[in-house]
Amino acid sequence: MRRANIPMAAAAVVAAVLLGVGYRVLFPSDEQRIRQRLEELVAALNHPAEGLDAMTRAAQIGRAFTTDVEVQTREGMTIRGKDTLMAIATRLQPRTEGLNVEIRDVSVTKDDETHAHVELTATYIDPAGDGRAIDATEFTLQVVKPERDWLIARVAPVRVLER
Amino acid sequence: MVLAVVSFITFTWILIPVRAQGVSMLPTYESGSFNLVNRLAYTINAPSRGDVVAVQLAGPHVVYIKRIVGMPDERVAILKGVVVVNGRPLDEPYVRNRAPWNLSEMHLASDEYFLVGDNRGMSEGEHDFGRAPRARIIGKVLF
Repeated sequence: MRRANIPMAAAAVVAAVLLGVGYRVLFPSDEQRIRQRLEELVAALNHPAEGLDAMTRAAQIGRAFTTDVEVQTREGMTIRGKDTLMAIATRLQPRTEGLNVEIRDVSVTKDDETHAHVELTATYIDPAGDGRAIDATEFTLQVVKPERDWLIARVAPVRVLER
Repeated sequence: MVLAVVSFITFTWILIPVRAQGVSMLPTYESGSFNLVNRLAYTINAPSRGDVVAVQLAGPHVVYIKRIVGMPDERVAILKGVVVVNGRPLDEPYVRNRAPWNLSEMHLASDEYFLVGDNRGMSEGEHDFGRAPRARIIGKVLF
């Protein structure tokens, strides 16, 4: 390659990278959309709110789920339906205010064009402490795409250590 | 530059730094203490009884730190806080306090280990312990 062509080649590489990044931002993949959905959910869960704000927050949380969502808790309880989940989210607000949720090790696997499953670890952090997690749970999520958006249809904890 | 690359490889794939969080491994590990997990520890040898190991959850960034007390194919039970393996009580000098935990005998599969923290003085319900497949054990805690 002649020396004069090097800046041209570099410019072409930079342009290709920018085009690639731009394409991904404008047209995110399904995996990116699912991850974004989860990040939005976590942000809503961690957003402190009272009164009307709490209802807005509950609505934001509800937006991530299907109407017939099933959420299993670690204690073996099953919450059925988005309305029930939102009602619990609103009522639990004062108690969860002191606790932040983070998600780690998120892996998304698409089963087909409208179904996927997600594995992740949720850690619970006391913001009043020094940022240390006080507990962690592995979850498996079923996500579906009934129309445009990916929604969480099922949440179940994984027993890493079985008794 | 070489040092940076070697350090990156070592502390990303071989010796994983972890911070103990919680009290389930007291008195061996205080909450907040830093440790290293050797991910190559079990490439040749299988995990042994008494080893303190890292057990992964959904991925390697959040792990449980637990001690192996039961080996594959063994029968494990807990009677009044004492771990019983194949009908015999296990000698565990690292355990200081024992709450009266009870767990019915279970038979471990050929790829399963029984893991529990050293702090047996805490409530049984607040302590994560039980069997896990070999694939969950990602390495041995160094010290």
